[in-house]
Parts: sequence; structure tokens; C-alpha cells
Amino acid sequence: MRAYFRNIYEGLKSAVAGLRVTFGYLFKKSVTVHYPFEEVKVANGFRGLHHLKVDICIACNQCANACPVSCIEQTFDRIDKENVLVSRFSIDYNKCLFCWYCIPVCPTECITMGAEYELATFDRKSLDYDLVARGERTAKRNMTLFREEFVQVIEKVREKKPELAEKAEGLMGDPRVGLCGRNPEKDKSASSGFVEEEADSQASVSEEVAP
Amino acid sequence: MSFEASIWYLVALLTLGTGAYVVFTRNIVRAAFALVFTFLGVAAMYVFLRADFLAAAQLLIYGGGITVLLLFGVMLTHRHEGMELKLDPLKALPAVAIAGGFFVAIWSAARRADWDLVAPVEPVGTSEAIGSAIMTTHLLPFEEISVLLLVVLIGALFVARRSGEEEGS
Amino acid sequence: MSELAQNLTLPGALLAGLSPGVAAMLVMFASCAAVLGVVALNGMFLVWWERKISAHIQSRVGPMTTGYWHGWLQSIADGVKLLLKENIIPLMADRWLFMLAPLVVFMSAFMAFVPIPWGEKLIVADLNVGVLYIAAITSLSAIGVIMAGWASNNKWSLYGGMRAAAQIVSYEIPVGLALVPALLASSTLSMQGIVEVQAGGIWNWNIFAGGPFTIVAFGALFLASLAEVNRAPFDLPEAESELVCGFHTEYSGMCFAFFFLAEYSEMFVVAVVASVLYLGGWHDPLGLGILPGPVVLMAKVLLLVFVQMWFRWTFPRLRVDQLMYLAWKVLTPLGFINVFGAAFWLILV
Repeated sequence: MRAYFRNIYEGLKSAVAGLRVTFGYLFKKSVTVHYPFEEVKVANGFRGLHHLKVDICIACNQCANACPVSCIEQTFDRIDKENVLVSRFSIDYNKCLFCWYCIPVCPTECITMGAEYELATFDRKSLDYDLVARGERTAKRNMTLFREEFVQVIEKVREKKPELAEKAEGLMGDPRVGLCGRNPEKDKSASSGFVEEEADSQASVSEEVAP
Repeated sequence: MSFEASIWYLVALLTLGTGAYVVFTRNIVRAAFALVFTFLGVAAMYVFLRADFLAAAQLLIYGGGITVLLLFGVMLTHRHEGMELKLDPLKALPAVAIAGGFFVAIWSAARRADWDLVAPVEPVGTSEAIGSAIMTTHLLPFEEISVLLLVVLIGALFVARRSGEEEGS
Repeated sequence: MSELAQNLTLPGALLAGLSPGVAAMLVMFASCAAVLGVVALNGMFLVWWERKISAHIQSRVGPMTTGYWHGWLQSIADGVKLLLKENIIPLMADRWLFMLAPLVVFMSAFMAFVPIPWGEKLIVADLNVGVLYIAAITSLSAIGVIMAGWASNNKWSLYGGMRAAAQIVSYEIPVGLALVPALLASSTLSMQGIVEVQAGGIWNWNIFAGGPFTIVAFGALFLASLAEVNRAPFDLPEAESELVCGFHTEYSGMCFAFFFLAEYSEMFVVAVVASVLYLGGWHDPLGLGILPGPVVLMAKVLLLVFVQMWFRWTFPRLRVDQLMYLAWKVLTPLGFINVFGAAFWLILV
């Protein structure tokens, strides 16, 4: 008999406790993000779409080798012993499984994974992304940075491979194309020197590019 | 034909039709469901007879209670596929005889009865009269019914307990 | 329905020239249309409200886009969708019973709206046995539930139907016992009569008429009626995690919509019964009589419906044996104690 009343009392007590908790939650701020209208903040280390710093990519193809689903493809032209022209760095997001294997193998740390994740599209073919095209601003800076050096390289190449020099010249106006140096250290110094020189005109661009 | 009369005929049709379905169908579950509508029709008949308490009690006890128990019993006792009732002529004959005799008795009583046709009265509450009658003049039968129900309840418990013990051992 | 015709002067004037039979028919159809409108609007509003409440309890926001303001048109969009959807009947189902079941459930919910007193003169039909009528009509929905469970020819549906049967049979007794103290206090079965007895402020309400016994009876009525309308935490007939969707697993389109509408209408009806019997119906708490009756009644009913929803999103579902324990070993003895206690209190105090 005592257990019976105790049971009822305990039931009522726990019920009231539960009701208090849910009533409190009723007036708490909801955690919902109204996604298409609001931006979803992703966590640190989120493995979203890839970013390519095309100016330090050396087209070593290690990322493509590391990829378990072979979704990375690089198209490049060798200009000379030191320089390479990456005209296309494609990742097929139909295949990509966002495993992150391509990131640690990169010797120059030029490929990273960003915070974007919106891939919905009406056409499957449009999921074959060109990272050089995506990294437009990086490439533009690269072109400006290396313009002088680039012109020198083209002049050197023109004697041996005239058709390649012509191609490179044609691509010079195209902001999507990156010219890559072999030596990241050298590139860094060049980059900083440039920023000092033309800080006024390029301030906005370098700000956006800065990691 | 007045509006009320046409409704009356509709209800009568519902009651008789579903009642006939209960008798003639071979699907026992459908028969049980049809019985619900027969009870509903009877309750509506009580309303036409200005017996509102009886109608509500009919709905509550027969419509909501008895048929639910009936369906519960039917579903628990037979297989899922839908058992068909078998018609046995030897059993049908006495049934027809009894039902026919009962019908003749009712019919002759109805024929001989002296039907007073009165103008329809405004419905008045019957629950108060029923309540005071049960609590005063008919108290003894009321109490006896409760005792009878108690006996039935204990009997049912006893039956259920014995079968349970047999399963246990 | 005659009360309604008498109380509304405009239809009365219009109907004066017609023969009584035609007039009665017109009044009946008008009443049915009015009740149907209330049922549909109420169902749509409560669905939206429940989604909102459940969402905020779970730190979500619920429907937000349809209708621009907090998704207030969501229910209409859902209703249109359900209307346009195909009504699938399983091949091995019992066709007639399958189609009939949602109608039975909806009919019982719909008919329970008839004796609801909305105001001093606003009632479709003030039945002499109003409370008994509502108790009887709402218990009919169990038949529809069992019918749906049986006709679907699906084991989950059948289990749902059986559970509904067991649950309804058990909970009709505590509900009936919890109704009695209020009836003792107002000594009538008519819904309008019960409301009229409670005029003049909160201290005249039936909930305080029998001391502690009526307060407990109100709680017991609320709890037992939750079980009667198969709401969580007593939603065993449709237990999603065990029986897919219970008795309406196989239903789609408009048939499903009928079940849905009936569920919310029943919630509304049991809240109305509780507020009419114990909370003074359309009388406001201070006895001022300034606000119109329907507004006061709706406020009380929506408060009770909110508590129902609050319960649903707080408590986990009971087990079958716990359900039966609660009905037979807790609520039924409590109901008897309440009846006797309230009777003695009313005589002695």
C-alpha cells in the first residue's frame, strides 16, 4: 500500500519536473538557422569545397595520386625547368567524397578545403569544377605579381617553343590562369615585395586574398 | 411526408438494413461492425420517441461499449484471414422456427394493440424522472442488478484465473 | 437545432415564409455547415499551433515560410496537398470498411460539436443529456479506429486497433467517474444548464464546488480524456516507434486527412467538456460578462489544448501495462473517492 502511494507520488513529481523543463524550453531561443535565407556557420576544420592557391601549385600531381576516387585532374604546360603553367585543375564533385586525403600530401600546401558546401545543380556535368577558375582572385594577383618575371620567361621560351610562348601570352590577359614557380620561398618574398610597392592600388585585392 | 417522417424512414431503413446484414453475412467481423449501425439506428429511434436519456445510454453502452468488447473478442478468438460462418441446415431450421414464432407473436400483439395517435409533444428531459424512479420506487431492483453484475464479474474473474493457472503449469 | 433558429433573428425572418418542414431542413443544413466550418478551421489552426509548440519546445521554429508570417497558411497548403493526393486502398484490404472507417471517426468527432454552448444563446442544440451525449459520441470513434485497424489487413494496423479497443474500454470508466462530481454540483446533464449554474466569477465554478475533490476530479478528467482521444502520452494505437502509424498506417490522401482532422477535433471537444464542466464555460473568471461568450470559451479551451500539446511533447509513451495500471488502479479508485467526497462536500459544506 505504501509502495502504491509512493509510486503515484513519484510519478506526479517526475511529471511536474518534466513539464517544467519543456516549458522552459518553449521560451528559449531556437537554434534553427533559416538556411536558404541565412548563412550556416560551419565548424573549424570543415571539409567543404577545395581551394587552390594556384600561384604556389607546382603541378606535382600528388593530390591526384592520393585521391581514392581519382576525381582530380591537372592540366599544365611546362614553360621551363623552373616554371609551370597550370591552366586547369579540375575536381569532379560527382566523385569526390571529401576525404581530405589530397590535402596533407601537397608539398606546397596550395590545396585546402574551404567552408562552402552548396553543390545542388540541375546538371551533373556542372559538378566538374575547375579550381583555377574558382580561385579567380588568387590567379589575378598571381598574374600581376609575376608579370615581369612571366614576360622574361616567355621571352626565354619563345626561341625554343614559339607556340607555347604564344599560348602563354594569350593567356596573360586571362585572370583564370596561374603561373607557378618552383620555389615557394622565392614566391613569398616576391609577393611581399609587391604588396609594399603597390599597396594603394591593390589593397582591396590582397585583403580578400589574405588567409 | 414531413421532414421528420422522412428522416424516420431513413433511420428505419438503416436499422433494418444493417440488422439484416448482421444476420445474413458470413463475415463475422463485418457482422459485428454492422451491428454498431443497428444500435445507432435504435438509438435514433429512441430520440424519435422522446427518450433522450435512453438514446444516450444506448449509444454509450451498446454503441461504444458492448460492440467494442464484441469486436475485441472476435479479433482475439479467430484467425486473421476472416473466418466464414458455416450454415448448418439442421441448426438453421430451429432458428427459423423460433424467429418466425417470435415474429408472429410480435406481429399479432402489434395488430391487436390499441394505438393512440397523439400529437407530437415537445421533448422534455427524462433523465431526472429516471434517476428519481431508480433511487426511490425501484431501488430494490436496481440494487439487485448491481449484485447480479458483481456476481458475473467475480465469475468472469474466476474463469479467467483458472485458465491462466493451467497455462502456467 | 431549433434553438439556433430561434436565437438568430435574421434566419428566422428569412425562414418565416417557408413551410415548417423546409425551414427545419434548411436550419439543419445551415447548422451542419456551421459546425463543419468550425471543425475545419479548428483542425487547421490546431495543427499549425501544435507544430509551432512542438517546434519551440524542441528549440526549433516550425513552419516559417508559407503565408510569410510564421507559416500561418501551412495547414491550408497541407490540406490542399492531401486533397489532391491519391487515395490508396491496399489490394487485400476490406474495401468498404476501409473507406467507412475514417468517416465513422470523423462523424463521431463532428457530432460531438452539436451540444457545445458557445454563448448565452449560441448553441446548435441544447440537449437535455448533453454531457452523456458527448461521452457516448466520442466513444464511437473507437469503433472507427478498430474498423480502420481491421480493414487495412495489416498487422500493425490491427495491433493499433486492438490497443484502441482495450484503451477505450478501460478509460471510459475513469472519464465517466470524473464527469460525475461536476454533474453533482450543477444537478443537470445539459451543457448549457451546467454553464448557467457557474455564473458570476471564478469562485462559482464547479472546480471549486466540491473542495479538493472537484479539483482532483478535474485533473483526472483531463488525464483520462487524453487517453480517450489517443493523445500522447497515451497514443498507443498509433505508436509510431512500434506500429509505424498504428491504425492509420495504410491510409493516404483525404482518408488520412479525415483521421487527422478527427484527432484535433476530439482534442478540442474534450477540452470543451473539461472547461464547460469545471471551468465555467463561456463565463469569464471575474463574472463581468464584458467579453463575448465564444471568446472566453475559446480562451479556456485553447489553454487546455495547449496543456495537451505540452504533455505530448514532454512525456514518453506509456507501456500497455502502465496504461492499464493507471486506468484501473489509480484513476478508477480516485474517481470513486472523488464522487463520494464531492457528494458529501456538497451536502455538508
